[in-house]
Amino acid sequence: MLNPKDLELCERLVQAATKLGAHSADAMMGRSTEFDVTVRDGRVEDVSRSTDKTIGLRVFLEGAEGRKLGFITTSVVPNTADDVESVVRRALGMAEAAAASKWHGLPDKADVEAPLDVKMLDLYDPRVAELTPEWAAQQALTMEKVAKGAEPRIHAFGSVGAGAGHGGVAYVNSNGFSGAYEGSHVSAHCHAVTLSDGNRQSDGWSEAQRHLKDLLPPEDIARKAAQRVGRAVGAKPGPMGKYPVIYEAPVALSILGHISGAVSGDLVAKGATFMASLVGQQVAPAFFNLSDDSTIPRALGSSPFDGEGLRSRVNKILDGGVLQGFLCDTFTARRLGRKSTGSARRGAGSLPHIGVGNIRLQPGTESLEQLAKRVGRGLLVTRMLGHGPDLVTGDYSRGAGGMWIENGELAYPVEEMTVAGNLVDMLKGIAAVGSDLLVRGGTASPSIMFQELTVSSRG
Amino acid sequence: MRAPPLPEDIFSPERLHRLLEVALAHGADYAEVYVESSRRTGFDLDDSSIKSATDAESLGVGVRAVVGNQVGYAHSADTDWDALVDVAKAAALIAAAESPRSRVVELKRRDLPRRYHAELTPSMVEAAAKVEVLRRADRAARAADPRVVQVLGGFIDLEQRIRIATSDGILVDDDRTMGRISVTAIAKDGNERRVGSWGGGGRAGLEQFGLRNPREGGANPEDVAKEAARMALAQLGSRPAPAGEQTVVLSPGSSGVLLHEAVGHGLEADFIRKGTSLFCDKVGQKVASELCTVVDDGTLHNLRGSLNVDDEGHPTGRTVLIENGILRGYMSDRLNAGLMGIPRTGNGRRESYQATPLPRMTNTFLVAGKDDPEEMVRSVKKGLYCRAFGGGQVDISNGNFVFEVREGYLIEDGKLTAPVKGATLIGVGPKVLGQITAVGHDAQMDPGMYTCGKAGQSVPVGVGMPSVKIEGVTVGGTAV
Repeated sequence: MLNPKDLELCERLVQAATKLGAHSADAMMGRSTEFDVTVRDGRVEDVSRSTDKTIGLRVFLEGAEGRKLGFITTSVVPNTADDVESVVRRALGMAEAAAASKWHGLPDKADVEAPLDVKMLDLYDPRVAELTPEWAAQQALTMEKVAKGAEPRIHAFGSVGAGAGHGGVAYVNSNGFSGAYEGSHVSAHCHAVTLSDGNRQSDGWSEAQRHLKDLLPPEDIARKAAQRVGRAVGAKPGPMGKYPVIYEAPVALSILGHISGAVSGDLVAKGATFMASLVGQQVAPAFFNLSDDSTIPRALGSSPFDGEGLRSRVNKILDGGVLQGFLCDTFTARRLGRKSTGSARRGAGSLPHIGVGNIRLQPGTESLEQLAKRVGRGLLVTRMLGHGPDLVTGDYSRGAGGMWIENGELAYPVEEMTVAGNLVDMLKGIAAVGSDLLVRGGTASPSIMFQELTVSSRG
Repeated sequence: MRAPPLPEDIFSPERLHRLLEVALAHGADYAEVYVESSRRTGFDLDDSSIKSATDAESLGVGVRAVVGNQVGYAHSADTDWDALVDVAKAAALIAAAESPRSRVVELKRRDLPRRYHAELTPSMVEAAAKVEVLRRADRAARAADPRVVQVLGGFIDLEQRIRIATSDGILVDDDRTMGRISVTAIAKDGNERRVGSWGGGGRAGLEQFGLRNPREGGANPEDVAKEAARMALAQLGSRPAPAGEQTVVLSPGSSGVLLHEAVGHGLEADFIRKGTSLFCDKVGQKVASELCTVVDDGTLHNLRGSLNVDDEGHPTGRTVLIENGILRGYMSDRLNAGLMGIPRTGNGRRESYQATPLPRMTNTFLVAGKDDPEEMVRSVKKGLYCRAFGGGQVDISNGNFVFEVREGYLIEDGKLTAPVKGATLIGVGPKVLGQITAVGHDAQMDPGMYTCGKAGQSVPVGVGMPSVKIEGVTVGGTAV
């Protein structure tokens, strides 16, 4: 998928930009090809195939008050010198409209190191590139059959499918950086709906990996989906009050998402995160170790360099529960008087924004069953609805369903409930993290037990 | 510069006809080509400064072939002839026959109604003037109160040209223009920070932002900014929201999010056909209080969810979903209407040429009732008044839905008292709608700021609602 012409085109765009008046510039080109297949009632339902390419060019104009940033993205590859010039001029025109800032620009040359070794990262599996829709259909048909066999109350499937794709990224900037890499991904999902006494419940399981041999077999995905949707049958609102609450690993991932959002240097600079004043402070218990590691071989969130050409690295976010710092791209680092953490994320079609690669919470030693014992009476959240916290204040309230815990055992399924608190108190009040580490996409979390949340319900 | 016109040599009716033939070559019943050229410009406001200016352009083609309930879809940003033929061939493979079983009906161009008008198209307006929209918002929000310490904003406009050709002979072109402004204000008092967010826009030209005349705009930056600032300021000193079942009164307009989640998604025909929605087999049954009439209407003038034609080339319409509490019908696209034998309602929508159409809402609202909104509040001894809303989400199988209250007040003895922190409300769609005991005469649509997500695809929608009173909704607060 890597096309040497893509790097060449990026170079032409950057050269043309600096020649036509940009102080500095960078260009990225992304290509991808992929397919997805879903099945229904033992037959293929949907087959979709795509081939995409996108180019993005950032230009910086230098002035007395700083630099102005203009960005253009297009799916129409400029072929001739005239096309290239037209794209560059449009980007320069956009920059004229923006405000000057002394924080804009490419990373300082001193901060640029050679990208990570692409071979070591192993992001591309040639076997995935050879997969076909027929393979995906087989996987999906197996999942549908196994799930139905494992849980007879399954009435229908929301979606059962598999897919694969591969692509390449080329990036060049006017500081002399030039890099490219390719990656693959393969995925499978099974979402089922039960019907029992006129009531429906849904749940499922999904998997995504870069390498085919890392993907869970379809039978295992189907059994997980069947087990999850089966235990939800008969759910009703549970008791209301302040209770210990466990987030099972698939929903605990969302907590890591909120934390990584709240430690974005961008929000810190805007005064828009409750974490802004907490660097160096104990925000979670000492056993809570959270890091963002973009260097993990074969992981979905890994890359040799970030969206501005800085070498990928490991950033500790919470170490022994103490907030280590904020994630920054080059602009935000300058704004906050810090160094970039290599956290600029982008596709060719978008400007860099601060984000994480692979965020990982270090697992503990207790199983989910042991955590439930510690809870005694409370809630195991397995499904959630809604978007999450107000990061300015940390106020948190979301819809929840799962299993009610009585006497340390999973007693009955519950739904139509909410869990609420404030993230500052919630993080401080984490009682334990489980041993059941789940890796999904770029996020890895075990189950998390909160000492006490407000559980609301009409039950 | 405009969204590039569709290159006629590449997308002529003769060539589209040929592509449709290729897509039908293996025995599909139906095929369709969707061509899209779009141009967006966008600007970010951060700390009184325009941080970046973006110009985004795309051109691509999607081809769909359908046989029974099976769908083959392929898309590409390559528009040379060989690439287009490859896309059509890839879609055709959903069917397995050696030869075609249906023929392409001669393409006939259809005239469309005009549901939206753009006087000032995005290409007619200089980037500097678009930037000024955000600067005006910044000034207005900061002028509202010295406690407004930060203002963030975004402006985006879109020019989109689409062409749809189908094997049953439809050929339509549609030009779609839209714009949106969003403003977030942060208010600070002592150590307390509160946030307010508001937005506005619609499928219309940039005159809606008051660029020609501040009085004609439906989404004046000053109005949007003042509302964001007001929300942030109003929440300073807010107390924990109550937990548990409450009587709630919802303000008109963006409270329509509740409807979108509580019943809207569950009435999309694909979920019904697949048997995954709790509204399966419920047509003719009572699913809401008799005060409720719910309509989806893609024909309303200049609204965010309005369309001249859906993304399958079918005219949009006004579909009564629930009439006086009784379920009347579902929102459908071509595929599901055909398989289910129900009317086609013009709700087949897609995010872009990269995606296959699905039944989606357009503008969904609750029809006005007769009740006095002030009397609703007066009638509540103890409850919650919800004034501003974020988004929501639904599980269409069990009907559990949430919607997020951003600004709420306690109702005590018929009066609004203390502001409370935002909280998620949760309920089961038909049950909550069954507990609506008053519907106001003050029906309103939201200001044009919502985007709906389904199966990874985002489309702009409108929501609307009059004031309503609901007896018994679970409020996800922290005060027990």
